[in-house]
Amino acid sequence: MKPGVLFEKITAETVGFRRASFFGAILASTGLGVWFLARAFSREGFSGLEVAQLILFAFLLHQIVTGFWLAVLGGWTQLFPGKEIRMGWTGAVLPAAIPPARTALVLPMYNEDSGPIFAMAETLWSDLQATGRGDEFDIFFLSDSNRPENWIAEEWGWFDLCRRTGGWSRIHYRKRRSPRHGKSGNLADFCRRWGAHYRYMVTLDADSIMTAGLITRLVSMMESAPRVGIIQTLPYQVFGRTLFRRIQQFSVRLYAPVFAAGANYWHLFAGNFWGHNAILRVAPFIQFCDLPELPEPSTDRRHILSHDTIEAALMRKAGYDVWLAYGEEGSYETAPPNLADHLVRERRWCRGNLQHFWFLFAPGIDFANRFHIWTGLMAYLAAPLWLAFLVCGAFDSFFKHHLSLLSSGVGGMASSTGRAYAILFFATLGLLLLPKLIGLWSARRRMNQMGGWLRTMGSVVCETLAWSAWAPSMMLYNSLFVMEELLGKRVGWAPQNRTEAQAPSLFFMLRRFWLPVAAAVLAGFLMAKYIPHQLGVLSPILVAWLATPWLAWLTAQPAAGEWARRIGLFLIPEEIESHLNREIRGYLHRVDQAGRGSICRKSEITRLVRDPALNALHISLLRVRRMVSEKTRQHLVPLREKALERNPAALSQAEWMDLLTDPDSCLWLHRQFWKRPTGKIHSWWREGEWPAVS
Amino acid sequence: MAPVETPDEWDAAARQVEDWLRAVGVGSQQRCLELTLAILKEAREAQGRQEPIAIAMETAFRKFEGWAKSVFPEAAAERAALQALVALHGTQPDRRQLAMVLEKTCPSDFSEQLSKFRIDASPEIRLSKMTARKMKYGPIEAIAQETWHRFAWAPLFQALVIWTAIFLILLRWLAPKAPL
Repeated sequence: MKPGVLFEKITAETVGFRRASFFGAILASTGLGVWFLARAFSREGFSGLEVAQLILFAFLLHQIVTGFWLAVLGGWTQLFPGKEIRMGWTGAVLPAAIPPARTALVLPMYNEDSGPIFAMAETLWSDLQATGRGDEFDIFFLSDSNRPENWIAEEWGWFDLCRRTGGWSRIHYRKRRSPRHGKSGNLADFCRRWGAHYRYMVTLDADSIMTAGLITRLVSMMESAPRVGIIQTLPYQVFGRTLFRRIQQFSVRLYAPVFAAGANYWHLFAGNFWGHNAILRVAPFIQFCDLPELPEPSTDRRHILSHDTIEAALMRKAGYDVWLAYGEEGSYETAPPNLADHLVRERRWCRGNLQHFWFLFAPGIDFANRFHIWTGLMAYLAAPLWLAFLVCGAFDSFFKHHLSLLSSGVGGMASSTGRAYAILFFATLGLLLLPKLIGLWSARRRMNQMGGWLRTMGSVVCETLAWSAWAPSMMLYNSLFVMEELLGKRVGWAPQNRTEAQAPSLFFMLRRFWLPVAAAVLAGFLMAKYIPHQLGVLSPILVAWLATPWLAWLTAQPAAGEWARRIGLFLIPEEIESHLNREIRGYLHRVDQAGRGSICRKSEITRLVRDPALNALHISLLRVRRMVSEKTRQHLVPLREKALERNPAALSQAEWMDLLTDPDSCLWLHRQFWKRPTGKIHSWWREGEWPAVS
Repeated sequence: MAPVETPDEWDAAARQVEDWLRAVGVGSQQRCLELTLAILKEAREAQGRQEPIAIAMETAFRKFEGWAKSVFPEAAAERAALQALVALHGTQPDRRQLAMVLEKTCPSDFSEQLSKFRIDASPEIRLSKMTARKMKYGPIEAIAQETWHRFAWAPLFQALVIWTAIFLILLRWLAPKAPL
């Protein structure tokens, strides 16, 4: 390593000791818990249901224990910061590289509201220029949008950004006609066409925010450590206005540093990649990280949807290091605004993570990457396992209740098992709550930036209650997602809603969350009929299910989030002014202000047809067609007429995309719009509001 | 026979031309009015079977294409108009320069400024070979392939359903009806 990076050398003994400590602790704790439960069960001999419970318990406990030990090791690392081994920058000023390392900031887009994206890019661009290293960077907006209004808004957004920053030929926009293989295909397409121009690439999501300072530091780290293939930063969540988002961003701010430090403790140079807010070395990425096909029987399931974890594994397989730079400030993102949108993301991630199963036993994959894959799998498999554990417990209880009526000796057994259950329940609760205390302890120096001890403690209590209330519904939905995936149900990669402008209504939430309510009624009825003595124990789950729509609606309200902010709950350092974060606060404030109130509407199509400049820009960016076939012409000509004369909303999204990818049709629409008198054109074109579909 | 046009139609044509010129970004209000009158005059002279609004806008488009061609002489008229429109908005000319749009002679500095403007949405392509390496997924792949291609699921499900039904019937039958 050249000077600049925080660590000098890592010995094999250090890696061995750390991994042995971490995995040894997990195995020992899980083994202890399973042994304890097995002992309780074995007093009267094992039943089939008990064996099933024991196996399920082992899987569930190991997951909880993993989280616990990550937090413990994270806390330990922070207790002895001198022994910390992490990727970071010492602050040394390196002589400029010759030739300078060129870096592409790549931003894949897919039907997202482009206003905030361009606002972020503008702020970042001007700050990069201010660092004096602006010449090293280019920005690429890589669009796969297939909604015409988003496409048009992106084109104008890019044009406007270049106009305002003077970034012509440095800020680029690429729209793929066929969005093959989604985001990973989009990145691969960039690498194939322009990757050779760049030494590094910083991947950003549509909601990513990274400061110029952090990006230049990441480039310096890569320059100093040529063996490093990927440096992943730890993005904190910001800009939350709804209560749901505020709770999430508070939890991430408080606990993520501890968990990340714990994860870094054992994996060191064998970290994971999360797909965004990271820097990658382009040459090895091109050479080794194109995603292989999965050995699925159906062709449409062979492509890997969630690419990041696999790319990290392939990078490691090629001999490059992957680091998590968790101590570097300046990396941010936003969270889904409500529970409904959170579950939309979970559905996508569930499929992506389950696909990784194939790599679990693939030869040549690093052990650490196998564990990352396993952790990702368990994040979703835990839900049906937990549900199965509860169902097994309920059946077991039902049979024991019946048996206890047959045998006088069973009462004692039942009570001793009950004691074992109680001990295990409180031990599990401890394993879940202790990491929170460690998170609180490790954030002790930042308390003033989070509203002070009292408010932070209050926030921790409230967020613990909130997550406890959401957890049963998330378990239900994640179980459903896993089942759908195992049954081969097709799932699209839907764009993520990130806007908080319109809070969903209670009616919407009731319709969206009928399943937990129905589950609560059914389970409540069955339990009252067959295992009434268990109703009290399991009632928190039933209550949480019943409350889901109301809770989802309440936490989706920006007013509720604003109220929490006013009374000092769920505050994060980025929201409280201090001399420590003035620069970052200012940066985030600029991004937030510039991106507010931007909503992409259907009327973008009206603008394209009416506005000569936008129309000309759009046509100029289209590929010039040498020849249009007669068949295509026969398809397009009636569509143009239909769009102008009849209700334009009657054209489907695909039909609009057909029209807008044809330069002749775009020009024709523009000229006919201006040439036709009012009566010969649908009134909507003049009024500009998108009409209802007739 | 030529259609009979009314003054209202010419008023509508004038409004349309003026709106389009303003959307193009042609200088001041006064300049827009001057150009509108000139275009309408030319349109009246050239009027054929088309409606006033159509012929006036045709004239406006043609005039703009002609002006654009003088700035981008190497491009076809239609393409030149598109390039000129993009360049007009991309270069952000001042009011003095905007007043020169659609003038018979475009000042050389303005013309150069416009003709030099290029929108390169992406840099020059330098192709790299990025192809997926063949991946071996180990024993799990072999098991899965055998399961998918050789294993018959239907009898398994049938057996499961039958045995579950038998189990539930027995459970119901054997369970005591009342506490002993």
